[in-house]
Amino acid sequence: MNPQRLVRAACLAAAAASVPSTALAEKFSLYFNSDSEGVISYEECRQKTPQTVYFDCGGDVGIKMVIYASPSGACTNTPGTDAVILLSEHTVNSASDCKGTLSIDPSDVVGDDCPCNSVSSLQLCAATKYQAYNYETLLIEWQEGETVSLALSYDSKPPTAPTLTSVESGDSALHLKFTGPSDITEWEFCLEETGSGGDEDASEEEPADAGTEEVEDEADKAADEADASSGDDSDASDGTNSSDGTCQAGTSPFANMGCTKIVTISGEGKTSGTAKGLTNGTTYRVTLAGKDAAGNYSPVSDSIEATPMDVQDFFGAYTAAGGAEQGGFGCSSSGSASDVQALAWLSLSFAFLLTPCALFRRRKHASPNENGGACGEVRR
Amino acid sequence: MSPMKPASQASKAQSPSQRGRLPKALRLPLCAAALTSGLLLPSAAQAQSSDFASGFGPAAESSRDFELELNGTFFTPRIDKESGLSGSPYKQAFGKGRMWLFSAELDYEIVDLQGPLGVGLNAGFGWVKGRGVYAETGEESPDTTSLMIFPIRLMAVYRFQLLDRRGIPLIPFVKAGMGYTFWWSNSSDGKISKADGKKARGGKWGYNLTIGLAFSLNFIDRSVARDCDRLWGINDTHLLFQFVHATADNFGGKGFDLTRDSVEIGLGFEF
Repeated sequence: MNPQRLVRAACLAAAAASVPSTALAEKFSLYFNSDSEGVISYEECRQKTPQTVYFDCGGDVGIKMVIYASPSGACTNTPGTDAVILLSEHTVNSASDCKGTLSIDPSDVVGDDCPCNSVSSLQLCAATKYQAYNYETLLIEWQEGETVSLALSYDSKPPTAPTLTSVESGDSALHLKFTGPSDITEWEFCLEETGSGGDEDASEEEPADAGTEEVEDEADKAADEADASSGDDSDASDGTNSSDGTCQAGTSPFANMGCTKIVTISGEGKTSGTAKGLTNGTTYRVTLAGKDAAGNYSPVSDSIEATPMDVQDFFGAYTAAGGAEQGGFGCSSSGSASDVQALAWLSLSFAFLLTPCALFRRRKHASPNENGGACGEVRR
Repeated sequence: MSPMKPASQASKAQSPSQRGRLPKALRLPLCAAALTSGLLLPSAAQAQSSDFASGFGPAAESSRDFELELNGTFFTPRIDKESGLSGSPYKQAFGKGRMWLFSAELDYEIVDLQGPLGVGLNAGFGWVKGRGVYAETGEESPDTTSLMIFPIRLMAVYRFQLLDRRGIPLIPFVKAGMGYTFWWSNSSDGKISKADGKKARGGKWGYNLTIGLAFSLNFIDRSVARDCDRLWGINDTHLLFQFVHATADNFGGKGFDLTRDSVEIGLGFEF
């Protein structure tokens, strides 16, 4: 073998040995911040709210990386033809190059139309290359490294309508029971005052269709106004769109209703809750809508009317029954004594009992005959 | 290469330093568990404990200064028996619901008179939950209501241990003292109830008398008991049954009567 070639090979091998570790798959990561779950809502798409993705190559320098969106879902080392390049080939020369953020325009991954009633997902991919010695060519070459992926989805499909099972009267409160699909993460109740006092009102249940229709009419009106100002003229394509094509799923159906109070209960799988701070004797019409993680609102439920009423708790019932208890602390039944007085009594009792005990105990331990007689330690 | 030590030697080597090594919070449950498992499986406990104890020298009991008791019971306060009351507000709110009460007691043993005579401090927490009623109709509402108590008792305690010392594992005991019971009642919003401008909270003085019988679990397996003492300083573990008459009515004053006559069951640890 040519000695020059041997020297060259040795040099290249030594150089290759100094190339950073290739365990990229364990170190490289793509992630969203804690507030985002990688779901683009209709509103975010429409408002072109950028999605921030973080990357971190774990301190590996001397690598190259490319980050792209893959609509097909496949993450390969070389981006496919349908891929949207988000970060073109980037060489990591220092630790500061290693970490960074990418701002992704939703329309880059969803398209400009932000379709209604649609769910789609894609993968964000990061592919890496690293330098390694090629024993065949005897050269240090860029070789394919690992790829990492992160799911990103677009969701403008609203959950199906929840059901308001019952509304029971409480003291300045209404107790709500409901069911709904599992993708609802937030339950919004619109409480609309319909009158005061009457028991007839309280027992009357609003016809379901009428209530729903009213909600939709109001919501459509709101959407019309919103679109007039934004100039959106997309076509209506399904039941979740208003007449001018605006997706209703992203707008609270209660936004322009006459809700006296909107109560929100958060949590998947919830089946009950309480609306507090209401006025006894006032009848409220209660309507429910669910919201999923992407901010899509379901159609509204049927309405139920109920009236908060005065409730006697235990102490109220006791007092109404003529009980003489006045509350308060101390010995007097009138309750004029204070907490301090009660504690003082207790402390005095302690002192009275414990002081002789402590003195007795000390004398016992001081006695030379420690284990003898009744004054000895408590032993068998 | 050094030969492996037999298990008994290994435990012997560790035993002097083991005392106090276990977290204090685990000592009582472990002792109780060891002894009560002996109650259920005496032969197994015997076999294990004899191995365990083989590494120790002759018995030398540690001093006995305290007794810790953990008790539980339930009872119905005498609220509805108040004179001049129309109706039964307690029953109306809580139905047949009895108040659960759990308490802890620490006794300081001062002198031995065929058993320890000392002073004890007992503190507990009791609660009962129910539902309010509509003022207009008297029907039950979904709104919750609750009554809670926090009784504190200071008392003299005497345990007659002569029988136990002569091999009969029964320890009769008596207690007598004074107590103060804090009470409060909440409405469905979790706040203190109010009625006619009065807040539903207060306190009641009273006296208390207790008579009980402790069953010494040491009797089941003396070697485990010895281990409990040597490792953790727990001389004796008791299963307790006691009848408590604790008044909480400001000595016959007006208002709530939270007096209870209840049978408590618990565990006691003398150390």
